[in-house]
Amino acid sequence: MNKKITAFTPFQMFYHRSIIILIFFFILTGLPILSSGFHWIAYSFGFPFDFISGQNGDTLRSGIQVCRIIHRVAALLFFLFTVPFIGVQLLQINKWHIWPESEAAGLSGLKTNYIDFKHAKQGKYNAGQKIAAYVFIVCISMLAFSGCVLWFRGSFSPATLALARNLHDIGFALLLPTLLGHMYFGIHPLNRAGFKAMFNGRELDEADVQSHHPLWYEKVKKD
Amino acid sequence: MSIYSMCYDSQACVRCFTCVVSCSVENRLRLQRNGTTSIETGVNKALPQLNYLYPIQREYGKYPKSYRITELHHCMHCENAPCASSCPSNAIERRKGGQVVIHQDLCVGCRTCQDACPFDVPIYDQHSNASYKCMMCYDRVESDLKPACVNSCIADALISGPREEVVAEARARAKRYSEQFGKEYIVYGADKINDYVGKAGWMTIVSAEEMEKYGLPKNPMVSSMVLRQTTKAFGLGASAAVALGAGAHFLYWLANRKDALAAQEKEADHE
Repeated sequence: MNKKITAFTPFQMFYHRSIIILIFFFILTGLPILSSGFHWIAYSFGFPFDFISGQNGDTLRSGIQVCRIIHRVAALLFFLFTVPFIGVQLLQINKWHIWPESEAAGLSGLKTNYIDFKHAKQGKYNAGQKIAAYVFIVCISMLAFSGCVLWFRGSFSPATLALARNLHDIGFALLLPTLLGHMYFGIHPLNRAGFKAMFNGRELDEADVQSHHPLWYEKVKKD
Repeated sequence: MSIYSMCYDSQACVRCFTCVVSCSVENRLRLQRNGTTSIETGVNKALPQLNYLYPIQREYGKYPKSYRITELHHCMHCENAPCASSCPSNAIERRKGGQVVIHQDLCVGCRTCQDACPFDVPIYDQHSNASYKCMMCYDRVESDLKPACVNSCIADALISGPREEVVAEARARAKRYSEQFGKEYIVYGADKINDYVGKAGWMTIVSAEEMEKYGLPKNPMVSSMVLRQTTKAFGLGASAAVALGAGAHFLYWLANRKDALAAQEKEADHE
């Protein structure tokens, strides 16, 4: 009989799902504020807004204003979901799978996985996933804290404000490429089991875990 | 229309600040002219955001040798206008005559222009949720009138007109002052100041040694905004590289998929 291993808790799955929706809106509404190359997004918000509100104003202005409001609403929801999530996760910080593992294949394991299409010696996450996790934690914290400063800019000094603006920019510039990579490998057919584990809550076959993630398997067996 | 420029002669100025008063008056009249508000409301309310021109006094040195320098604070109407290029809603326009103008009806009140300005010029008004600054009376200039401050100056310390004429007059004055007072006078903004701001549409005749004390930096720049441009370029480049890499990897996987699957099956059989 095939034994099963649960990869993610329902709360982790719920948080991941929420953060996808929120990040989608964060990026969608942040881009037209960041660069005029994305003003078409603002227009596509501004046109219906002007139509519904009956305002005879400037479409770009309404669009940017709607984007700024959605960005802040998304920020509120982000904090609403993230604070309890961090609390729950911190309670089991020693069980996180993103810490370095001495026996793991490391970066050379990425070649084994994605170029040779074999299974490297690794835990639940390979080196690339761990790096992505660090980037996400650092960048999202940067974005969240600097975002608060930018939101309540009247309460901070100009120097703090300039720093926050740069942190917000740098955080996003690092987050976006990492996110694209994360999305690519997440929806890649190679990761079908992992994708279903995250989105459908499907449990993993113990045999698969043993062959794909030997170090994780050892950990599970120990517990 | 050629570039319209202004110049403030800090040596000829008698510090009567009639320009400051006439600027405020003109802006209140402009509210009525634009149909924004009645003249009564315009003159009854403080509306500090409408004072585009104001003196800032700084004291240098130790008493009794201390001295004061009064800066006439105003928008420089930069050639490269960092406020305009960083405005997310395109509310700031550089007109054909070179005047840099904030259109309040297009402004979203994000105050990015404040952050981008190395001279600390735009003023934010919470009530109207918009930023304000000197527009070099572009409406008057385009109707063949002088800007209000220039019109009211009693000492000919504010001059305006086509850029070439103003620059020529300013340089002649600076040369005369240099000879007369035995120290170098410059026309700030007649030549390119730096890449961040370019030339200034509103120049200042000031002695070279007092330039910085007067509030005219040698290298006016907001480093966080420069870093922002670099970060944007990096983010775009890195994202494009990841997207291309992902596409290439997917093609590579498609090409090798059958071999890889066969190898895996073999491995499974072997076990």
